Amino acid sequence: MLLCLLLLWLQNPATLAREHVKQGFELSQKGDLQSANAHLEAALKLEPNDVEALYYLAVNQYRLEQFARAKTSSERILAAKPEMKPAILLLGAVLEKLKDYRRATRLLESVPDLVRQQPEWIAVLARCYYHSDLVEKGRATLDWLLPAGPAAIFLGAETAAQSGDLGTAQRLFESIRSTYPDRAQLGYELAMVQYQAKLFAESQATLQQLTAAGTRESRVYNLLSWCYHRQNRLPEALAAMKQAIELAPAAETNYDHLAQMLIEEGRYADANEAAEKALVVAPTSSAAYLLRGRSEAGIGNFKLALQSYARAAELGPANADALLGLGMAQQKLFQFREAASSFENGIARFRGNALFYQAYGRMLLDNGSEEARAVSLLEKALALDDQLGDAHYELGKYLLGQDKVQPALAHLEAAAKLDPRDSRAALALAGAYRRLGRNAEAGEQLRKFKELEALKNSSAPPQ
Amino acid sequence: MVVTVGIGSLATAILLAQLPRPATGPAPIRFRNVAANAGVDFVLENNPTAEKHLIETMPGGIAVFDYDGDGLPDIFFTNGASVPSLEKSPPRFHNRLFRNLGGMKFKDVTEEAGLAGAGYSIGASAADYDNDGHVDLFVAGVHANHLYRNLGNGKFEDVTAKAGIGSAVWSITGGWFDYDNDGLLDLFVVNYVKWSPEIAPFCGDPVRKIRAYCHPRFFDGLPNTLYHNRGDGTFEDVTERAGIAAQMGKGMSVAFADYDDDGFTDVFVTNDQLPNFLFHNLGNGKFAEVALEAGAALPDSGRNISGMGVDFRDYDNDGRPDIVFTTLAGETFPLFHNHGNGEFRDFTYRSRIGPLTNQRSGWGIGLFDFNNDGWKDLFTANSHVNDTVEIFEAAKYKLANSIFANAGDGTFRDVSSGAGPDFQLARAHRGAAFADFNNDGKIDVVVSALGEPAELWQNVSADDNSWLILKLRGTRSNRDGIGARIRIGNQYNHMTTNVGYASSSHAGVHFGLGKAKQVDRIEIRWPSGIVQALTGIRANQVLQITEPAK
Repeated sequence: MLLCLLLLWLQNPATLAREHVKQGFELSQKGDLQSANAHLEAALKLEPNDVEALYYLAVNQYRLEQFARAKTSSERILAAKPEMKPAILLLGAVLEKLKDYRRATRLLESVPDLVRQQPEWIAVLARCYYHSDLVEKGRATLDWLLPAGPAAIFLGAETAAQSGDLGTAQRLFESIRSTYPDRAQLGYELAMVQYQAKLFAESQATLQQLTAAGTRESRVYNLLSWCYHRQNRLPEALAAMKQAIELAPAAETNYDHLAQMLIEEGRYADANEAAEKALVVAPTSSAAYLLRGRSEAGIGNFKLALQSYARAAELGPANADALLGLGMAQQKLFQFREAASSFENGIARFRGNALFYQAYGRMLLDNGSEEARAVSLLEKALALDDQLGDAHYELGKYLLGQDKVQPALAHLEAAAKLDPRDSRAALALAGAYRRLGRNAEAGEQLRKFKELEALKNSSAPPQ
Repeated sequence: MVVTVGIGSLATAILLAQLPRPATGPAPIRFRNVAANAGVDFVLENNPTAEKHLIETMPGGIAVFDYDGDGLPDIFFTNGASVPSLEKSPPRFHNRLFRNLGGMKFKDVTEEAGLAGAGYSIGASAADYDNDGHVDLFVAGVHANHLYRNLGNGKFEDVTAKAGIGSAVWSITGGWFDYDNDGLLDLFVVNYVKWSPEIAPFCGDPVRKIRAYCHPRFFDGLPNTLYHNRGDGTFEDVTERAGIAAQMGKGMSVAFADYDDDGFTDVFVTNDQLPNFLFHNLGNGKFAEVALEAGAALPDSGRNISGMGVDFRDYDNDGRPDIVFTTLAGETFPLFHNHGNGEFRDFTYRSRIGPLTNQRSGWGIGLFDFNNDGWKDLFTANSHVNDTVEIFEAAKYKLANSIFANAGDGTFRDVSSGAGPDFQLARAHRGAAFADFNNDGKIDVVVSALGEPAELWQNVSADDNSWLILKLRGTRSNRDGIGARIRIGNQYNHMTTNVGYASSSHAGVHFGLGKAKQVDRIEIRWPSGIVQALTGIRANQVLQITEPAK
């Protein structure tokens, strides 16, 4: 009789569910999240309202970056137990990942004690504030990390850096310069923040302190090279990048960066050589082929550039720049049908990438064909990204040519505002103002055009 | 003051202003290359070297003018020289003068005329600068320009030193015009860049060691030069005083027209990869550079382009001279429409010239009514500047010439493919000059090509339409009547010799008249200010017109 009762008890769904939950928890602890979730889901089939199982499942889903599922699980918990603070915390963290910052903030703010317990949750809440443009609150939240020691402060600094609050990041990194155990890591991160803040000389000094202290890392010399480059100290930049390459001769990044730097300097032949070296260490690198294409285009060899862009696009289906470069090289080589195909391909594959619309529309206008379509493409580009100066300029120029001066003016003014160094926009604006009889403004734009052209000519490399 | 000279007093029923626009497109234009049969056996020796000195790709200027006064336009070709010596030896580097014998036959008279020349010649411009009735010749070149005075006996004298126009820079061409309306032709010299044989940077693809001619940004620019004709055979350099010196350019060609109708001839200069210049003649001996303000400096793209040859004439019969010039592939040949009030607008696309020329590169250019339908058409002499361009780009180096027919509605059509089987000849064309060489009323074209025989394109279009060529003789104005503005019905033209790249066409002012057999009225506004009117003029003739005394 007792045995029968025991068997009945063992076959009881609640008992079986508990067993699954137990196994799920143990597997979670061991890091086998997929197996753990199988048990937890089995438990939930038997006991759909088992909050404990749901919670473990939601946590695992969060750890597996299955944020949509984690959200559903968390919301089921809170539907059953609205006051369950860990679930509130979890849902807040999940929503931060899903970029629902406003709701995430509200949830996290409702459980301050839990948030303050872990530096990770403090960082999550701070990110929510930053993304909601509540910079001061973000900063104040990161200050909660100060008593938690160097590792937590390091996390806070990283969070601030990722959120673009470079001043706070720098302050936090500097506050642990003497206490953080990994000096090289800290120094590199600090230098990176300084670089991003355009404090190139400070970044350079930080990196030089590292090298003086014996740090011999390729990434340090790489960043040092960029610091020199941004200070127009090309010889030092090249020397530092050479050291970066010597320290990691098989690393493609350094060759890529060298090529990029040389392209920016207009030294296309040297850039081409660097890109070729990148391809020796990484023969299937889409990025290296893209840079080789850019260097070849810079040399003026568009036929070779087209081949490189095509290979870059083939190797990197996600490399939008490669496909865009391919389309533009095809256009340059008068392969208009192929260029149109590349741009259309880019529009289909990289939805939301306004540059394909812009390039396509510009090409159609340059060819004097399908003008209505060209306008529509440029307008679409601006609908996706109204900060595209080129699209504004092309539309403005086209409308001016159609004697639609007022709408042209709006686009040209936008183009000039977005890129105050764009001499073309100044010239076109002068024409628009002149037609409207606004001669003083036209004169001012012409003066600006001349200034910008003089500046361009004085800085153009002779290649 | 209006002086009416009655040449045939009957008012005609046909007013040119009412010429019907072609319903089915412009009348066909056809050419045939008759150079070999005509005895024009000139080969442009540019002397290409492995160092790819920039000068080698730039020669090819042509001057067409009636040097012996027999009523038939003759042809002068500029030629290259040895590099780096810049000496015209051996004789294959000599410039060449071909006398028009009539019937489309020519004879080389270089030696008798004394025009073999010296140095590396680039451009030529003809005009009667001393008003003696004999057309003289200016030859521009690398580090040396030459002025040849026509002695009237078939010979020329090099008067460069005496005239005071010696130069040590690289000039592309010169242009004759009377900027102060004093009856004496002045000389505008277009200068390119500072160059010497020692400056030979490697341009092109250094990785693959493929050399190309250098972009002009490798060289410093130069101001142009203006010489004022003193009337005693000498010239005064007024570049500084006239306001020309302040503008540093990389000049390629020059054309003249009074774009704002103020009675003073203005100057348009194309620049290579720099904004063009429009020198507005202020009428007081000074010029103001107004290209940017006027909208003629750059195309609407706002990009610097390779301005090459230019013409400055009214293509749409609205009475205002427009500007059209050649460029390199990918830049389109810009057409700036003169909108009045000193403003030009970029009509490159509106005229359809843009899409038609996007893949072409051009040098010589001319707006002439080749089918005599009353609308000026466009001829371009084509080629890229770089003989290695095809390694780098889709652009072609050697190209056939182009002819774009004016549809009469503000647009042009590419009719090159129908212009004749030999018109499709792809060469490294450079200069082009325009004249009716056989007095049939149709404008023919002579074109030079690097390293290959010159082409003489006889216009063999149908003779359906009428024409008129006016040859002017100034009395108070300069003897050539350069700068005179002529109106026939709704058509406008002006007497100028500077057309295209480094070239000069001194062969009267041509008008196509459509089906009209008579012209109701011709109005000529001479540079002196005298306005002359002729009425009831029979079509299909070369008309000699002398400026009345008052």
